[in-house]
Amino acid sequence: MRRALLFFVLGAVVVAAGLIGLSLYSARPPETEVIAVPTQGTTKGSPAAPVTIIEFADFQCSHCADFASGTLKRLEREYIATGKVKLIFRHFPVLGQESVWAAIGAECASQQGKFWAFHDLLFRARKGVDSGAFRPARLLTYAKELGLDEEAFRACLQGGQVAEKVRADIQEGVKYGVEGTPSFVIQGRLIVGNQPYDVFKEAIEEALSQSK
Amino acid sequence: MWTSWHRRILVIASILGVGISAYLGYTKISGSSLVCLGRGCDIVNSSPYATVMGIPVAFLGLGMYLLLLLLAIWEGSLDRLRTAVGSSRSYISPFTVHPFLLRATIFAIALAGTIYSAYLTAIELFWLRAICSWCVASAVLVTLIAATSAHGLFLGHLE
Repeated sequence: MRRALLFFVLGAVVVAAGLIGLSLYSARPPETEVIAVPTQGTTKGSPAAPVTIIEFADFQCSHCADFASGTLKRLEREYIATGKVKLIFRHFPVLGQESVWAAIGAECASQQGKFWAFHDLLFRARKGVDSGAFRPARLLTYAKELGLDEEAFRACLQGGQVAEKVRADIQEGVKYGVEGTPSFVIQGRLIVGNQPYDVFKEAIEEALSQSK
Repeated sequence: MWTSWHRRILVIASILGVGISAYLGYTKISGSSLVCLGRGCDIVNSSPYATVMGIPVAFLGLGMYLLLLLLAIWEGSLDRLRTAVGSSRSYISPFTVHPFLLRATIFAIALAGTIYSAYLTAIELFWLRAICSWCVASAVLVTLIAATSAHGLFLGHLE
């Protein structure tokens, strides 16, 4: 019986090890898909696009990260790269102090033309709320990773100018009725939460038909 | 001896496990927020570690607990399946198997679940730095099932 039990134990260990391997494999960062999308500051897409989506997000929010890695990629392919939609990112840091730091860091990266690269990096690096992932020292290492001018980035983090821009974004969100993240405004219509792709598609199609 | 207490613990823990994993799975596919002690549940449930090759881990857990529940009920009914017919013969039902086989299978499944839960808990603590209270509850349940079945196996077959 002891020998038979040993086989059961070995089987259990092999199954568990296999599952852990599969888990680590499927959790690896996705290969970045290169789509030719023009960007300017916190705007993604052609300035002449007939439909505008304003996204209000917090870099510490998990549903915002899900949107960035899921629905946004599909919107880029279907609507932004085709010149029908432009997406403007606005900061709405509500979860904690590090949300504000991350927003400021992203604006500093924007000054050096790397907002979207920083945006993607922050969502990948996101851990728990105020867990230290977005401390100013960490933000500096991300800036270094993206090849930004470190001194300019550090000076920007310490200066108050960018914080003003973040505050203005929050005020704009409040004006639209935003209460949580992520929230989206598509031609005046407010969409709350990381809704399925079809919800965005429907709102965009409606806005496109109105703009004709 | 594998006692009625072992059976009760296995059945109750499996039923609780089915409830927890069904709730976690439902919130995962519906995208709704979890009712949580603390604020780590949504961070954990939306992390890439909450799915394996596209399958929510909660559904793997649900499958495991349902299987454990089925095996525990089967094991508990073995005595009744082997009903005496007359005085000398026994009727062996198609569901009658050696109790050791069922008990060792329960133990092996729960052991694999315990190892995997330990891995997930380590990911929560050291990588995500967020704790999902439901996931911890499930880890405790599967560990309890593994320990109970190990104890019963030791007393009933190895001592």
